[in-house]
Amino acid sequence: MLQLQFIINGLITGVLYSLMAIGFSLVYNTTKVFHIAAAGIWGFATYMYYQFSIDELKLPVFVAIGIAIVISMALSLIIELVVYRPLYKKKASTGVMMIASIGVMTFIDSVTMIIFKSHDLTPKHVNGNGPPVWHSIDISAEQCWQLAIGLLALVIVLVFLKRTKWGTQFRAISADEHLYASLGYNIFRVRTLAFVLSGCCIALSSCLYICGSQSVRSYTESLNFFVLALAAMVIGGTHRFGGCLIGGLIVGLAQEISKGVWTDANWLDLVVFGLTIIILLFKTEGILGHKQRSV
Amino acid sequence: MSAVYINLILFTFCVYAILTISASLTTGLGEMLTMCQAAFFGIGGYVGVFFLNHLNYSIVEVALLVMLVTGISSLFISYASTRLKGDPFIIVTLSFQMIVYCLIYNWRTVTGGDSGIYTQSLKVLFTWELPQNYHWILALATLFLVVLLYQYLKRTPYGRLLRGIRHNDQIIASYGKNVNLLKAQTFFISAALSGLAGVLYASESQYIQPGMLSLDCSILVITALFIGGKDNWKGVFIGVFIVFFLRDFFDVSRWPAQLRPSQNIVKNVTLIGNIERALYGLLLILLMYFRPQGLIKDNTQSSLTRRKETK
Repeated sequence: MLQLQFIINGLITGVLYSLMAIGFSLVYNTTKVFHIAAAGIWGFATYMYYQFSIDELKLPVFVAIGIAIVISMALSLIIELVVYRPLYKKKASTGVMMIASIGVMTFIDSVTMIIFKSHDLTPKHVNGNGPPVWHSIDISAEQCWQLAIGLLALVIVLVFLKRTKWGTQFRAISADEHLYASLGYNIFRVRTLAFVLSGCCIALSSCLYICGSQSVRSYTESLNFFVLALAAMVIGGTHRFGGCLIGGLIVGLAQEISKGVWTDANWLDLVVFGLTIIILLFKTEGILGHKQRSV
Repeated sequence: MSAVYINLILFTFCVYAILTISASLTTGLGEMLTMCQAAFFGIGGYVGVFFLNHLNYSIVEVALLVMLVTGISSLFISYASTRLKGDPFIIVTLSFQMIVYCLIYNWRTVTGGDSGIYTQSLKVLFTWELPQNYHWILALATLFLVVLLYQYLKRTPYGRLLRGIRHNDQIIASYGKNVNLLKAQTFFISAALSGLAGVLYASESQYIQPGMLSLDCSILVITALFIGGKDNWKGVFIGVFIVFFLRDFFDVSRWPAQLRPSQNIVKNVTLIGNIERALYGLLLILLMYFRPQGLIKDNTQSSLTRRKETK
């Protein structure tokens, strides 16, 4: 059935967009910084994965993904410690932080291009077999892994954010930072954890994406993916972490459906960003809405 | 140094300087950060090419028409600015940029899609023709007029109102000024100037393609603006020089044939281009920490109140 094929493909891509959106929204909600550098981390993570799995060391896929995630977590933490935290201590405005973030993205991307001079990356696949067919739906082995690992990661992150003490602190600092600080908590510790977790989610999204595709990586591709994940976060609900999940699934489904309906041109951006504009103008808090205590 | 190359480098600088000055009007003076300058640039370019190819007007007439059309296309952004502020507004401009790019890239019957449209126009003013290599005179003259307009706008009460909106728009509204109309006017002028830059770009390179209006270009405009100094023309010139001019200087494919180096030097030039990008990324981070106003501050009398602002 063709429709089910679209839905399955859409779910799989949507999970990846959701992960990236959660990575961005973790930083954006806790620190109010428009973390465009997340696109840079995404690109960097793909090159890290490539470096460890194919180029020189030829490690098994999951080991390479693990190493890429650890390095991206370190990079995310470095960005926070070197760029955002000094600006925060200087009480810089959010506009200034956003421009600094753009600078970080440019820097990370150009350094990646300098180190890894070639642009042609053909990633290693998980299994070399042909795509399995299930009820006449075409799913490759990579897509199954993408779906399984991505969903598992999403569930873990969302449960972490909702149930654990740290998750409550993330939500508290995103609601009101000064109140949180005046209650005696350490803002910097939460910021550190938020950036590390964000780096982990972004790297996971990036490595899973490259595992399942055969295409090359370039600067504009990471930026395009990031902007779609941003749209996913906005559609689902900017200040709700669950909104990233819903928004990501919507964007993924929209991608597959627009690929299927209009086969000659890619109107995905028009659909997704049109939806973003409509949501922003008429229901600014997104689909899930702002969670407030009812008085 | 051939006339072609001089034409090229002067034109590149002028076109991007006009584009960045138009961005400075909204982002620098008015403090409404927009990510869609490249969208207006592209709309201006494509509409200009349409007029140049089909209607056979001269460049100046086409530029005036295009400024009107691009200004009208900014009405949506003005509407969004009345309802949203700050980060949601930035995301709306980002979405507008992506939608315009998607439309122009995919609507192949009208815009030619990825393959672009070629154009050729020597008519500069009504029927007065100018050889292609001397079009830099037109570009310089236009840049001069745009800078004059920009300075004029800053010194008039209009400029003061814009700075007031940047500071606190509720106070301006309580004086009885129509803040929404003011913002709409600012976006109109900014989009019109971006469209003008687009027409100039199209007439100089004689070829337009969707790459000129990518999100990448919008981000470069913002970068140039904030490196140089977002609210004065000298800062804009410095920013454009660092970000756009040096990049195109290192873009080997645009060099005239006799200057083009051999293949094994080309890879090093790409490396130098990436190093230059890394350096100005680093410069942007350092500037935002040490000197958020950019390299060149606005110290003129018309901006006296700025000294108290900590940003």
